[in-house]
Amino acid sequence: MARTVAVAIIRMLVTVFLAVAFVFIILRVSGDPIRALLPLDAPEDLIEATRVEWGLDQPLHVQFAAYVGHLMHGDFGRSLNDSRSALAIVLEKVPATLLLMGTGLVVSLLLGTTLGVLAASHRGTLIDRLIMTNAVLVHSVPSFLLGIVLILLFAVGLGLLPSGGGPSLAHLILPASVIGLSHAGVVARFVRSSTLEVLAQPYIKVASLKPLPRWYMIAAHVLPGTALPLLTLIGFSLGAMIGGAAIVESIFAWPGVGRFLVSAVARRDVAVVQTIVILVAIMMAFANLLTDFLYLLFDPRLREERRSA
Amino acid sequence: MSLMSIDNLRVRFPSAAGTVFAVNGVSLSIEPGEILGIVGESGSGKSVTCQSLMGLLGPRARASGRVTYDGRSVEIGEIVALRRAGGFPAAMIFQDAVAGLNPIRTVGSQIAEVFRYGRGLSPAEAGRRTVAGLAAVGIRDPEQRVKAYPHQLSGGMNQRVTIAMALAAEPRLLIADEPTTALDVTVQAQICALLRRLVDETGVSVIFISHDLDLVTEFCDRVAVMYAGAVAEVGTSRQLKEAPRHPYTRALFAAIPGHRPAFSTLEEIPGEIAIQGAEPTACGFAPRCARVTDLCRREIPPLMAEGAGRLACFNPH
Repeated sequence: MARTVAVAIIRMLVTVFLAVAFVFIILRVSGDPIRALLPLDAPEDLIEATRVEWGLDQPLHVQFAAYVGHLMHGDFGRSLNDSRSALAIVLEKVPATLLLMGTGLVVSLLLGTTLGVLAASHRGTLIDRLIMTNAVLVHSVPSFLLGIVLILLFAVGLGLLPSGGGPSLAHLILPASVIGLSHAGVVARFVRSSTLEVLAQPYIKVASLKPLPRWYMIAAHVLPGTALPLLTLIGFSLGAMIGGAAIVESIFAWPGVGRFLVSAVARRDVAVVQTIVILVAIMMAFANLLTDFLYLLFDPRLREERRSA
Repeated sequence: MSLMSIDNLRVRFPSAAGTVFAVNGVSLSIEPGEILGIVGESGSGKSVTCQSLMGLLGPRARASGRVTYDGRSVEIGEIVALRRAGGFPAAMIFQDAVAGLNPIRTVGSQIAEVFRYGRGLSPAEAGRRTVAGLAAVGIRDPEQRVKAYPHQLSGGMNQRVTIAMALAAEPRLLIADEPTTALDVTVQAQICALLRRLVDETGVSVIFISHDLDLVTEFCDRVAVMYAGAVAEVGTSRQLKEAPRHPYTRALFAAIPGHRPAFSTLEEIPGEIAIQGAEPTACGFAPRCARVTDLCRREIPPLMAEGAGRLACFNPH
C-alpha cells in the first residue's frame, strides 16, 4: 500500500513539473508580459527598467531555474498586475469555482445516470432514441453557445435569472446548468452502454428470478456494476470540466479561477497562470488517486489483489 | 395429482437467417417431491424448455403451450406474471454458479435480500435465515461464509450458495440446468446428494437437466429423453436403464464407456443433431436411426403411454 501511494505521489510530481515547464515556455515565447502590462506609449527605457526589475531580462533557462527554486520554497511569485502573492489571489477564487464545478458535476451525474439507465432499460424504443439523440445534442453544442442561449432565454427574455455575476444561488443556476447539461450527455451515453453490459451479465439473470422489487434490483445489482466504469469517466472528465469552467465562468462573469485564468493569460501574468496550472495539475492527480481508491472500495476482487501483492 | 405439467410447448426463434424450431410440442409433468431428469444432446431443446418456464427466452422467441400448476392453467406467455404474483413458486440454478452471483457483493447479502425484500422479513431475521440456509446446504462455518465474496469460494461451494439462494424464496419447483457439469466428479456427487436430501426434507420438486445419461438414471426418479425439440421417451430411471425402448435412448446408453462389454468398440451415433429449420413433419431422429421405417420419415410419432412410461416411436425395441 505504501508503495502504491509513493508511486502515485512521484507520478503526481512529474506531472506537475511537466505542466509547469510547458506553460512557462509557452507563455514566455508567445508574448512580452511587460508590453502587455505597460501602456502602449510607454517609453523604451521604462519598459527596459521594468523588465530588469522583474528579472525578465535574464535568459529563459535562468528565469525558469529561479522560478522552480522559488516554488520549492512554497513561493509562487507575485502577480504582475497588483504585486500581491499569486497564490493568495488564486486561492481567493477557488471556492467559487469548486461550488460551480461541484454543482455541475452533481447535476450531470444525477441527470446522466437516470437517463442512461432509463435508455438502457428501454433499449431500442422511442425513449431510448429520444434520450440518446438529446445526449449527443447537448454534448455537441459548445458551452459558449448553450450559455448564451440560456442567457437570452432566462435572463433577457423571461427575466427570471441574472445573466452574470455572483457568487450566489441565483447566479449559480445558469452556469451550473450549462456545465451539468453538456456533461450529462457524456454521462448518459456512458451509463447506457455500461448498464447494457451489466444487464447482459448472468448474475442479473439469476437475480431477476428472485422475488425482488424492481427499484431494489436496479439499486443493488445494476447500478453498482455501472458505478465502477463511471468512476473512471469522472476522473477523466474533471480535466475537461476545468477547461470548460474557464469558458463558462467568462460567459457568466462568475468570479472563479477559470475566468481569472483567461484574463491572466491575456495579461501574460505568468506567476498567476503558473499557480493556477499547478493547482489544477495537483487536483487532477488527486482525482486520479481518489478514483483508484474508490475502485478498491467498490470491488472486493481488487482489494484482495492489492493485499496479496 | 401432478405438481406441474407442460402441454404441447412450442418455441421457435425467428431470425433474418431463418427460423429455428427449438421445441416442437413437448408435454411433460412432474410430481410433488420428485426429481425429474431431462437428458439430451446440445440442441435437443431441454434447456429452452426450462427457460420458457422461467420466462428467460428473450424478446425474439415465439412460444406457445399451456402450463398447469396447482390446478391453475395459463398460457406460457403468462408464466412470468404468474410467478411474480406468487402463483408459480419456481426457482432455477445454472451451470456456472460463480457467474450467477454478483461479484461485488457478499454471498450472504445476496441470499438475505430474498428474505428481506422478497418476503419482507426484518434484517435480523433475514440474517438468521441466511445463516440457517447456508447450513442447510452443507456449508461449514456459515456465520463466517456469509461475509465471503463469490471469488473466495470454490465452484462447489458457490453452487451450494446458489441453491440456498434459490431455496430462500421457498419454491415448490427447482429447475437445475446442468448444475454439476462444471464441477469435479466428487463434488458432482455431493451436489446430487444434497439435492436429494433437500427433496426429502422439504418436498420440493426438482427438474434436473443434464447431458449425462448415466448420472441422470442414477440420481433421478424419472427421466425424459429429448431429441430435436421433442420428447423421445419418458420412464422411471430403472425402466430406462433396464429396458430402453426408443432407438435413441439405446444409442445413448451404447455410447457410454461403462455400458459395453470390456474391449468392445465404443458405439457412436452416426451423423449429428440437426438444427430444425422448418416445422418438423417427421421423427426428428429418423436421419440417424438404425431402425428407421418409411412411416418415420412421413409422420411425427406421437408420445403414447407405454407401460409405466411414455414413448414416441413407430418402431421401438
